Amino acid sequence: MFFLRPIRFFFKALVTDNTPSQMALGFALGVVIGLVPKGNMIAISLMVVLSAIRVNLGMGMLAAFAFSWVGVLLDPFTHRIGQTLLTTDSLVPFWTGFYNQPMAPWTKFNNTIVLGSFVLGMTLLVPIFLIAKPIFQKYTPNWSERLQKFKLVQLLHGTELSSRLN
Amino acid sequence: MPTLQIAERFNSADNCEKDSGMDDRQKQTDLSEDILINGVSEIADSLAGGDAETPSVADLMANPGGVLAASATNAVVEEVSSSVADEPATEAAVNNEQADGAEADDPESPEDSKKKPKQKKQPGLGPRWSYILTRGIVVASVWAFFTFAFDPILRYSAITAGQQTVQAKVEIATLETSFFPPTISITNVAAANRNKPGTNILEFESMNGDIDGLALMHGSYVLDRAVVNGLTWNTPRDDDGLLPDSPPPEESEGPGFGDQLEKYGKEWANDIFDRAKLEYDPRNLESVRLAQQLEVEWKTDFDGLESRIKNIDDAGRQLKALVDQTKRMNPIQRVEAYRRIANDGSRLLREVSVIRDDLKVLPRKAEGDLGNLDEARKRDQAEIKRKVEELVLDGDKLSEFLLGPTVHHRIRKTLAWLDWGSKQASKFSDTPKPERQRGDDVFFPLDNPLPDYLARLIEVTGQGEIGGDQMAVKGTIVDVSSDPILYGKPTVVRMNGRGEADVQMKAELDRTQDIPANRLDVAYILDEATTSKLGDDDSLAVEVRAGSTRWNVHIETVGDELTGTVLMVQEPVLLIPEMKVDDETLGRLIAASMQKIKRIDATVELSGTIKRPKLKLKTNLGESISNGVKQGFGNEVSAQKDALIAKLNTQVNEKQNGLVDMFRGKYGDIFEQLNLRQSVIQDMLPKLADKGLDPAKLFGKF
Repeated sequence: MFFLRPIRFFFKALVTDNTPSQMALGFALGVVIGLVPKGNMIAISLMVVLSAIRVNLGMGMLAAFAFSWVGVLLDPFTHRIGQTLLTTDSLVPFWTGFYNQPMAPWTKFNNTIVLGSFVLGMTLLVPIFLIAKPIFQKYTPNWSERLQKFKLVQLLHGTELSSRLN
Repeated sequence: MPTLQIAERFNSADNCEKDSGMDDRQKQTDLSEDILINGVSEIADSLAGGDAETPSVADLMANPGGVLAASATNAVVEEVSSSVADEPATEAAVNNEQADGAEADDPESPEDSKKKPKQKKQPGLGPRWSYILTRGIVVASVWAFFTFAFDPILRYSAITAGQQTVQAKVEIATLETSFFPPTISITNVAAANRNKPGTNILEFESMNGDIDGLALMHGSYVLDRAVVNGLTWNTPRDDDGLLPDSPPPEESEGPGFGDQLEKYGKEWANDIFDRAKLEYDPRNLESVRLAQQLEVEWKTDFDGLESRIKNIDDAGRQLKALVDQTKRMNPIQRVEAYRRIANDGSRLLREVSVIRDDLKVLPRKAEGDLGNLDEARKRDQAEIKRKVEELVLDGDKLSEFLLGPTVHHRIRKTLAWLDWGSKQASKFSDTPKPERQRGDDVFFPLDNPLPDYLARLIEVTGQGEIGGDQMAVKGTIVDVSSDPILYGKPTVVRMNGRGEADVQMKAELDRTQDIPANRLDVAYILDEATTSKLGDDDSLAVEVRAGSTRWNVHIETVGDELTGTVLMVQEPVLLIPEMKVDDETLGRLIAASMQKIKRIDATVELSGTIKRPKLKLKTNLGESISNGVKQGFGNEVSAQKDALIAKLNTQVNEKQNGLVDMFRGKYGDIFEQLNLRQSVIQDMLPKLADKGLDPAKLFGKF
């Protein structure tokens, strides 16, 4: 069952760093990524951060996927936030200066929804982490037990070994 | 057994947790999961034999329990270290690395490794594979995307964009990019021509370009310098090149000005040769026709009078017979006969008188007719003068006839390319932004604004047909921009072609203002002998043998308005006319005048629009031929004119004299006949009176 090896590696990558803190932080980062429209450097940078720091990648990706749909529903609200920030006179010099920096245009920060959703996400990052952490502390063991009952997980963990032994 | 080893891992993990001072419950939970997920995996990894330190399959078979125990123990050490590392991060990381290092650097027997968990209180120094693996997968995914997916996606996008632009098939064999330094490389590109199915509007073998990295960081795709090799155009392709949803080919709007020119030229040529025939056919002259008509009319008039005289003759004979009969009549019958004779005689005399009156009118009528004939002759003479003088060729019309189609052909091709280039430039600069996007973009002023897409310099080499000649082309295309108004510079195309002829072309496609403008300058120099045919084989054709040919084209368009000039010079030239003209004189004079022409200069003034251009052609060719014919005609025209008029006069005089003679003869004859009839009738009436009876007196009493 050699073909399971890469799948198992991937699965392992997703479920490592699975302390409640790591899972909560992964979830919070995933929420931010989900809210921000994709296809810009902000979203890519957030993905890099998610991948680079020791948080639960699986939880992060799951949250990003789920909140991508939520983000669309929040567009009117995030648009208003972004528009207010981008058109505030006192901030215009800052935005102009930033806009002239290399790579800045690729962030698409000058888009009302990108900036609005990013600001909203970053604002919610810590509260989401603080809320999510005790939840993960409480439920992670149960989820882990249940996870082990899935045949797919059992297969990934045991099949190669058993095939070798046989 | 593996189960026992896993149990050992729990114990070992407990020890580690105590050492690290973590919360027991949480650590227990984390470790349980770690062991479940990773412990077994590590065992499986070990069995896979990927590392030098792991036991072989032979070892496994010899002592499966021991081997598995050793593997499991190592895995437990690693995982425990990994778990501990979570919270005092720095310390844990050091521990992990040390643990991994120990695992990697210390290949020991399974028995030795059994003791390790207890001995291993010190942190390892090796890499932390779980962390590396996680991030490695992400990095590998990004790498795989840019290695295997990015270029094909970009190629697909380029094909789609190209097809939208030319509205026909576009093929790109390969497209490769690199990021350090940023470059792009494309091979075997072909764009079909939707207006000419089965041909490529252009194709090239390769394009290698350097992308401006700094501009890219500011969000602009700027091609600093690109080299296009193997450019060619109007090449055949295997399929028609049309897309399933390609719009129908653009049809030209009615006959072009060149077609009209050709048509008018032929009409003009036919007309002038017809006129030449007309001058030598006096039957078509008005005076001759009128004379013939008068001859018929007069003859009819005289015939009518003669017919009436004949009727009088018949009546006179009947009257005479009656007079003769009266000798054999009794007196009563004779009285009745005399009365009848008196009445008939009087009636015949009145008829003679009426005919005479009618005859007397004819001279005045004839005089009027002859006056009309004279007027017609004068008009004919004037017409002959005018037509003979007009027979001298109109230089401008002759120029249009001879050179119009040739000039038009070249101009049409030039304008077609200019139109195509202009349309592509407009399409590129007017590419609509995608309308559907989330949110609004707020733009801030940039220190050095650049368009989204810009090609600063494209060097081009290739070969293709220019002016009917295959030639190698080399040139540059500068400042192709998606936002020329922002960039502030027009696109400039410079091309040099070398083949039998040398061609230099500069096109400026200016979209920097609201109204698009284009300027095109072309210089075509052919220093080789050429033979071409001008005119029309059915009337007048001229074979031109030229030593060299030069074309200079300058065309400007602003919006829809077109202006420009096209100059053509051919020298030295030898002109050989081929005519299908009945008139030998005209043919001889045209041939003689052409022999004197050693250089052809043609100037075309362009106006109108690109779709419907108008041209005004002036050449020395028509004028030279015309002048030659005029000079050659010289006295001949005058003599010709005099001869024609003399011929007309002779014919009209003959007709006129004939009419007069006929009139005189008929008039005198009829007049005499009338006198004779009148005297005969009058003679018969006195005879009756001699016999004692005066009919007038006799019948006057009744």
